[in-house]
Amino acid sequence: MSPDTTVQAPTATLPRNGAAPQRDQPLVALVGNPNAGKSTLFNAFTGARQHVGNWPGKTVDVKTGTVRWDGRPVTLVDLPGAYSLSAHSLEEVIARDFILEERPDVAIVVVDATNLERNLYLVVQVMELGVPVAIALNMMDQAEAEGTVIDVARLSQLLGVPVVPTVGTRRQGLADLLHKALTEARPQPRPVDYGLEAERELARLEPQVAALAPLGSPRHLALKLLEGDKEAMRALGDSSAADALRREAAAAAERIRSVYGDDAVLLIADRRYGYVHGLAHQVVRRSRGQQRSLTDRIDDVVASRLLGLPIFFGLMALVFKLTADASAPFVDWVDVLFNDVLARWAAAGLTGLAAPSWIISLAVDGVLAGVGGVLTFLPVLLVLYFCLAVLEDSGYMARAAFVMDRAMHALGLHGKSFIPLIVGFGCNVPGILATRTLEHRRDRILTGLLVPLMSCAARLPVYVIFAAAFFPRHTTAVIFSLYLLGIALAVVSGLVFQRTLFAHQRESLFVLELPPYRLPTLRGLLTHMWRHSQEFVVKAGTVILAASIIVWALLNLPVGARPEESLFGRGAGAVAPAFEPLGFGNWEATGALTTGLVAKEVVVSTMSVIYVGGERAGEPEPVDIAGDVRRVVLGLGQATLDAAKVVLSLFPGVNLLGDQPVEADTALGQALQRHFTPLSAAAFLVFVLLYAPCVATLAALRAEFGGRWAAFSFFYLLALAWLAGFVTYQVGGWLVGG
Amino acid sequence: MSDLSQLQPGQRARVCEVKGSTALRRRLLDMGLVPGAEIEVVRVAPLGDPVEYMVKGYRLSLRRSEAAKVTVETAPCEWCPNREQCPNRPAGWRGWLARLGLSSRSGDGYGLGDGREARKPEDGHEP
Repeated sequence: MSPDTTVQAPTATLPRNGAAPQRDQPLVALVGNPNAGKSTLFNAFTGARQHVGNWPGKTVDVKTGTVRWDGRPVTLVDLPGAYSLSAHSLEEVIARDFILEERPDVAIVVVDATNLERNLYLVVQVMELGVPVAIALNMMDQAEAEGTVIDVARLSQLLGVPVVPTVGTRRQGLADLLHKALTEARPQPRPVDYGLEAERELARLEPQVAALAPLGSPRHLALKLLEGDKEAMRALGDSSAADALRREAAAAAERIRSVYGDDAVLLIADRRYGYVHGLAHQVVRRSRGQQRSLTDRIDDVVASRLLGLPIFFGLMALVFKLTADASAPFVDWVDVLFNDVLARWAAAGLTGLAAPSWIISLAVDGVLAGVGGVLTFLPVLLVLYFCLAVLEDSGYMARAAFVMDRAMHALGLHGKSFIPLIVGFGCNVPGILATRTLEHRRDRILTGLLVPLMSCAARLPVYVIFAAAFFPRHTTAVIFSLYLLGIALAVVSGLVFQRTLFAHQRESLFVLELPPYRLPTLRGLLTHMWRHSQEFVVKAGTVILAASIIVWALLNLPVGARPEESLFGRGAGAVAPAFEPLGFGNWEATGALTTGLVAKEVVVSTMSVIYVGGERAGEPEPVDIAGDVRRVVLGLGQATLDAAKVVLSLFPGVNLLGDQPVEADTALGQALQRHFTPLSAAAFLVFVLLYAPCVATLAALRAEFGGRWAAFSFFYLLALAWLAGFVTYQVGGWLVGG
Repeated sequence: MSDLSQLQPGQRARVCEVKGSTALRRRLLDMGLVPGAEIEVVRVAPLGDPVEYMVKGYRLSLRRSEAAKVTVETAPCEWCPNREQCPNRPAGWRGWLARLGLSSRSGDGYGLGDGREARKPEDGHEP
C-alpha cells in the first residue's frame, strides 16, 4: 500500500436502503440498552411512517422513520440496542459507526430509569463520540412504582445534557424530548475523568489523533487506542505519522499497565462505572428499600428448580396449540377464497375476454395458487408472532433462555436457540428469521442449520395421508416418531457440526440480562406481530410465487403434453432411478418431491393430480358474484367465530369444539396403495421429513447466512434424507422380509 | 477469596478481578462487573446452569464457566448464610446493631448502593 493512502473509515459501510437521511432535514439517532424501551419510543414517534432497512449483507435491523417537529419533518433512526460502544458485537459496531459517520444532529440515549447506572455507562460513551446528546429518561412509571425518585434537573446539570422524563408506552414526554434534543443539546465529549495517569496520556495522544483527522472525536479514538483496539489502530491510516501514533499509544498503554497493574480496558471501564455510580448516588433517592419485587416473586415460580421446565414446556405447547388451532379456520377461509372463489372468477373473467387457455391456467394454477399458498401462511404467522411477542415483551423469553441453556449448550447452542427451533415446528422460515435474536453469528448459523430438521407444519399433510393409507392402526405413533426422528437427527447434526465446522471458532458468550417483567401493551404486540408477518409475506412470498410459476411452466410445457411427458415429468423421470434403492424410483414420486421444494404441502396436491387425475372443468361454471361475495364475507365471520371458540376452549373445563374427524383423502390413499408398499411408504416419509428445505427456507437461509450456507444446508439435508431413506428401506426390508 | 461460580444463592460478594478472554472480559466489564462492584447470587437454573445474579441494580445471568472467571471477595457478616455458626460474629451492642443492618461506624466499609452501610469483615473471615 502506498504511504499516502487516505485515512480509512473505521468499519463497514452503512445502510443505504433508500431511506438515507437527507440533510435538509435534521437527523436524530436513537440509541440505548436493549429493553430500555427504545423501539417503543421510536414507534410512538414515527407511527406508520417508518421503514426497516438492513445492513447490506447482514441482518441487523436499522429502522428509519419521520417525525414532525415544529412543522418540519425530522429523520429518526432507531439504532440497534447496545450495552456499550466497545464494538465487540455487530449491534455495537453499527450503533457506533452510524453516529461517527453520519454525524446526526443529536443522539437521544434512551435510558431505563429503573436501571440507571448501567444505562448511564452507555450514555457517557455516546457523549465521548462528540455528538450532541439528550437523554430520554424512560420507564418513569416503573421507577415510580418501585419508589425510586430521580432528580432530573440535577442529572441534567451534572452531565451538561438535556434530560427528559418519558413513559414510552403511554407516549408521555415525547414532544418535550424531541424539542429539547433538537434545541438544547450540545457536544460534551469529556464527561469522565480517567485519573491522573490516564488523563496525562490522553492529553498527549488527543492532539495527534486530531491532526490525523479521522472520524469521531479525538477523545474517543484516543481512548480506544489506549485500550489497544485494533479497529481504532487501523482507522488512523497508513501514514508514518499514524505509525508513530500507534507506537506511542502502545507505549502509553504499557505505562498505564505498570502503574495500575492492569490494562487500560479495565481502568477505563472502572472509571466510567465509578463516575456513573457517583452520579447515580447523587440523583437517585429510593424511598423504599430493596424488597422482593414482583419480578422476583414471579421468577421464584417460573425459574424454580421444580416448575421451571414444566412451565416452559407447557407454555410452548400452548403457543403451538393456539397457533395451529386458532389459525386453522382462517387458513381454510383463505384457501376457499383463492382456490375456489377467485379461481372461478378469474377463469370466468378471462374466458369472457377470450383469453387462451394457457393464460387461464397460468392465472389460476400458477399465480392464484402461488399467492394463495403464501397467504394461507399468514393467519398462522400472525398468531405465532403475536404469541411470541407476548412472551418477549413481558420478559419471559429471557427466563426461557435461562432455563433451557444447559440443554442447548450441551448441543453447542445458546439458551436463546430454542426459539428458532420451536418456531421451526410451525414453519421453518420464521424459525430461521428468529435466529437474529442470537448475538453471535456462529450461534445463528448453527441454529439455522438445525431449523429445517424441525418438522414443519407443511409436512404434516404428507404424513397424514401416507400414515392413514399404510399404517391405519398406528397413524399417531408413526407421525410422532417422524417428529422425534427429526429432533434426534438435529441433536446429532448439532454435535457433529460443532466439532467439525465450528470447531475452530471460539464459543460464544451467554451473559444475558433478565429484564423485569412488564405488562406488554396491545399496540406494541400488534406492531411486532405485523412487522414480522409482513416481512415473511414479502420475502418468502415473492420466492414462493416465483417458484410456483416456474413449476407451472415446467408442468405445462411442451404445450398439450401429458404430465409425464412435460419438461417436469421428463426431468423427474431422469432423476427417479436414484431413488430405486429407497423403494420409490418412479417419476411420480420424484415429481411430487420436486414440487415439494416449492412448499412441502404441495407434495400432496401434486400426488393428487398425478395419481387421481386433476379435475379441469371444461367450461367454467356461471359465476354468481353476489353469492360468492356473501359466501366469502360469511365465511370470514364464521372463521372468526371458530377461532374464538378455539381460544376459549383453551381454558380448562371449557370445550366449545365438537369432535373433529380427521378427513383422509381416501381416493388418493387408495391410489397410493397401488404404487407404494408400506416399506417404501416409510422410506418416503423419512425422505420427506429430512430432504432439502423448501425454496422459502432456502431464501431465508441465503438472506441470513449467505449463499454458501444455504447450499450447504440443501446438500447436507438431501444427502441425509437419501441415506436415511435408504437405511429405512433396506434395513426395514431385511428386518421384515428376511 | 473465591470465584463467583462457587457462591450459593443468597450470598453477596464484591468483585475483585475479572479474567477470561478479551471478549468475555470486555462484556463482563461493560455489564457492570468492575472491581469493587457488589454482586449477589439470586438463583440457579433448574438444570444447574446458568446462574442469575443481581449487580448494579439489575439481573444478569452467567454460565458457571463465565462466572468462574470473576474472582470475588465474599461479603461481610450480616449477609452471610452461615452467620449463626460463625465464630467471628461480632458481639455486644455493635453486633446487635450490625444484625439490624445498621453500622456503628460510618464512612469506611462498603456502600451497598442502596443507602445502607455495612461493617467491614474481621480479618481472615470466610463465611
